[in-house]
Amino acid sequence: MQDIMAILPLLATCAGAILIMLVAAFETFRREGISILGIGLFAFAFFVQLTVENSSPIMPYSAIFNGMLVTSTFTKAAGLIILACGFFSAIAAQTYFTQNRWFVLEYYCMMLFAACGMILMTMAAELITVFVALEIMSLAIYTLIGCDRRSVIRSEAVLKYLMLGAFAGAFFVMGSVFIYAGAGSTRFVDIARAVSEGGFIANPALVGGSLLIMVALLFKAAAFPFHAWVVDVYDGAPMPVTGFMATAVKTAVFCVFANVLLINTELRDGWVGYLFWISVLTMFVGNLIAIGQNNLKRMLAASGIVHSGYLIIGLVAIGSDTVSNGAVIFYLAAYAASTLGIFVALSYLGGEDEKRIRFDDFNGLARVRPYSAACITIFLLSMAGIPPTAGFMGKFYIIAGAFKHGFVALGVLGIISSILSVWYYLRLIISMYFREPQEEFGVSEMTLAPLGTFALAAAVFAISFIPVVI
Amino acid sequence: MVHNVSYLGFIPLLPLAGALILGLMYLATCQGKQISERLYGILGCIGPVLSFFMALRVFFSLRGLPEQERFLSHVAYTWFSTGELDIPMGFLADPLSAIMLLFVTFVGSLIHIYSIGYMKGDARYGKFFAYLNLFLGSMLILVLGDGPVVMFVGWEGVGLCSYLLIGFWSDDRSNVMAGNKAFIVNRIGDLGFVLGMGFLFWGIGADGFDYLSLKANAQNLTAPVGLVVCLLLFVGATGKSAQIPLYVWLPDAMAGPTPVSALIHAATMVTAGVYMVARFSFLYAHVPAAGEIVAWIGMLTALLAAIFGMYQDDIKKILAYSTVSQLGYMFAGVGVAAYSAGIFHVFTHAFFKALLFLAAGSVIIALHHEQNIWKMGGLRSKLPTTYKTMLIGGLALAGCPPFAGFFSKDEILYSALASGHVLIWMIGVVVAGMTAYYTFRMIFVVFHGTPRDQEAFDHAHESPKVMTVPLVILAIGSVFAGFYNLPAIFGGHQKFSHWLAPSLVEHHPHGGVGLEILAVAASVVAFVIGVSIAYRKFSVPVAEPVYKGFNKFGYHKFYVDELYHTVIVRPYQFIGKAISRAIEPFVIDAPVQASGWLYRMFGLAFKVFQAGYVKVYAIYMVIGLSVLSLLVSQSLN
Repeated sequence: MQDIMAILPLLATCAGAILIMLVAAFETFRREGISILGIGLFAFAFFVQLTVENSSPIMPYSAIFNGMLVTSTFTKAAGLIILACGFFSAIAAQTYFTQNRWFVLEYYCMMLFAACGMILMTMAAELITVFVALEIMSLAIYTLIGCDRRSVIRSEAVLKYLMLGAFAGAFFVMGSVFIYAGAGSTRFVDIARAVSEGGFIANPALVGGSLLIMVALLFKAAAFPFHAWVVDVYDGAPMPVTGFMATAVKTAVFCVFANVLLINTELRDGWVGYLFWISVLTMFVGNLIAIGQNNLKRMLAASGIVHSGYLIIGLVAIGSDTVSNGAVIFYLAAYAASTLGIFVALSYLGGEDEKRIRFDDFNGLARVRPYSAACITIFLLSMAGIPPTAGFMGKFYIIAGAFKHGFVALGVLGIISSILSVWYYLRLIISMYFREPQEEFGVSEMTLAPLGTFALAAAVFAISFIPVVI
Repeated sequence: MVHNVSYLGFIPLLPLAGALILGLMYLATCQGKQISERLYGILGCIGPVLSFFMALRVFFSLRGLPEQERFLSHVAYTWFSTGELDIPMGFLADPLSAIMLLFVTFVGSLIHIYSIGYMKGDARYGKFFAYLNLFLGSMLILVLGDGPVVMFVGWEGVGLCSYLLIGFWSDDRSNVMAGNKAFIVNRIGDLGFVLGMGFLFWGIGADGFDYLSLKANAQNLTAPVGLVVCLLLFVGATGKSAQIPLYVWLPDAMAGPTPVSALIHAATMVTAGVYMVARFSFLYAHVPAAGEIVAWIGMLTALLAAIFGMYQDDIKKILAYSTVSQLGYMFAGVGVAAYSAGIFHVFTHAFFKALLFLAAGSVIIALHHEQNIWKMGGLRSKLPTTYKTMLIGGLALAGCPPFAGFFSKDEILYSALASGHVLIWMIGVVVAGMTAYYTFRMIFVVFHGTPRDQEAFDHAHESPKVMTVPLVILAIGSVFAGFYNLPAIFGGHQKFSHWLAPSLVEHHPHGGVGLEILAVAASVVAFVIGVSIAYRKFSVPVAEPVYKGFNKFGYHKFYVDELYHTVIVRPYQFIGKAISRAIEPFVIDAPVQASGWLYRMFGLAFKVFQAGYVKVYAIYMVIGLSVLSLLVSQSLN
């Protein structure tokens, strides 16, 4: 019974997805109805996640379903972030579809299924479960990207993502096979036992297997050198989907990443040296890609690569204790609020067919829509890590964690990278505030997405007050 | 024994909430249809008045407790906690802060009510009340905050609000400059406060940074650190409470609307420094040298400001210098370790100075914003209520027995005399005479004699009830507030000092009845002489005097502003210009621009790698995997 209680949010999300699928078959609900239903279901799942562990006390990392899944405050927080991202993405989508007329009824259903996969990912403690969860999420995301069948760009994006994703998926399966060969099991607990009994370096199958799994996860996390797909795919996806991918998917992937690294200290120590360089390269390559972009969505995609770099710093410096996860999960929350905030704002400012997407298109936004411009400024400052926003606190915790665990060089490089990132964030602020508007911002009247933007702007400040022990 | 009461947090929260609501209302409507002034006025007054009633509740619940248990505290939440520094958002009400609370909220409420009438017709009515509420809220945080850090929040809050309100009529550049001046001068003081706070934490802060813990650990502070802390904190106080050398902002602060002046001078802001020194009496009591410096600076400020006050021709500036002068008295009081006497003067001063400013505001409004006393005259018949109340305020300020100012000032002077500071006492008596002189010079010129500007006189009329009623209430306070601390020589029991005893560390000097009579007699004689000279010179119709010699020197305020400008501001500007012309473009800008250009070129180069072909991306992955495998296999061998 306790096992069932622990996965209640998963069940709620799944049931919601199925509900929308069934309802969509009857054509009684139109676009508006389904949108509200989707938003409501995300909110409902969020509250289920919020309450679930209070009713049944669960120890940190207690295994359920015979070690298939684990739950902890870490997975709970990740679940909350994912469902909140889903909620705000659904709000963005609701407004997005008032301007882009290609709505398919299954859209929200796919979002909920993707959220299902993500929540399962955060809790998975067994390689095949991780793979299944990863694929549930990925398939739903592929569908979401390609929902708009008229558009060639969307089809191109989904094709690229699908091919490279399959490639990465193959790595993952191959890695699981190797690990099974080395440890005799795919459960994390058994792997941990095998490593502690036989050693990690001495077992080539374990080393090779974990390398392949690492590569697959780095691909999903968009880390160098597996980052190249991100810019094209984010650019090709519809705006609310891009926001959902940039935040919720990243949260789920980093949860798996953290869970894998926490299997065993020796295993983690074996990879820290490589992750060190991967995080540095990821940050700097991401920055260099981002400054070359004139397209906002591409810039945000590239900046997402940079943020993955910071999160990998957090993973490098992660302790064997669960407390250290606090910095990573805080960063994920701060990053999710800021990034999603921009995507929600772009969802309603972008106009029909996302025609406003370059930096120059936002010239003088502060004159026309001062509140939206102020919110976007808050999000950008948070992403750049300027106090008193959540983004600043997130970077602070991550970098302080790195210092504390002895990775001084990594912390310093993280700070340099965050200075470099100011370049492209400020560029948009300058466009909005110091340039003259070129054309009319004829935006049709809508309610939900601007409200969502304001809520997220408030959240950017509110999150920074959550105390984290590092 | 500290009692926990949760309503303490609401006292500052109410005006702050008012500020937020009014501010949002103003923001929402500033471009469209305005909300009626009446609504703003009522909403603006609710917070302060409710806070006053809660302050009363605090006062009476403290009274109900045994003397050594009079501490109410409330921790709203943990503000931040890093390493040893653990700062809760805590509030502490003890006898000292309760007294401050009472008169701050009382006088503050009256000023809010008065503003309803004074600001009538102003285009930014709502904004004014939002700022006013914010001002009061910040002051209440300052007073109630448990520990220097929370106090500093309020400290900065009042600094900000004074800037906003002094420059409120921002159409006139000189008002904006005055606001800037106040803010910048205050920042200099704030630096002292922050440094002092740092040293204090370094010394004894690790075992709790709230007042009670600090008080308990005060004797662990080494003497040199204690002196540094006390002096740095006093630098902060000179900024906020306008003492030498940082007093220059206060007279210029007259640029703000008159209720703001009243609020700054009576209830909030300037009293903060005195309160702070009294609050840290447990530190100053251990460092007599610091007290000595405080007392001397205070008394010299009192003297200097009194000299300036004698030559001013702007009615508000006379009052401004009188405030600086009275603050000097307060510091002299806390400097000679008579903390309760200093605070008592803060308390009585709040009544009569608020009264004088509001009465002056009434005169100014009656004459359509005329502030030069040499354009007034004979207004006694036209503004009877204002005249009577201002006369009471003047008598209290000049130290006429039995008005409020007499008792508090006398208490300070007596403490100075009894603790052996004879020179300070003598200067104090001289200053008392000068105070009587310039106060009655103002009253005689404004209200007596014949009108100097007949047209303005003809149009003058008494202010509405909403303005005169607060005047009357404050006048009553100015008459009777002094009886609260009646010394034994007049048959009293010094209730005020006894009430404050649990909060302060002080030893009452016992100089004997002879000294006490001497002090009282000297004060009364000084008052009589001052008023007599003023009466002889100004009760008859006189024209605006032309100053020569020393008088001219005094009229120009000893050219201190000009001195500061030449010695500090100009060199500072020169250095700034030199850096911006010589160093900035070559040493800073050029390398920065170059690295920016380089960075951009790198970015453009990396753009090429984003080819857009899936096969290329897949090749990247394979290369990445190969390199990783190679590295791993090498490390395995």
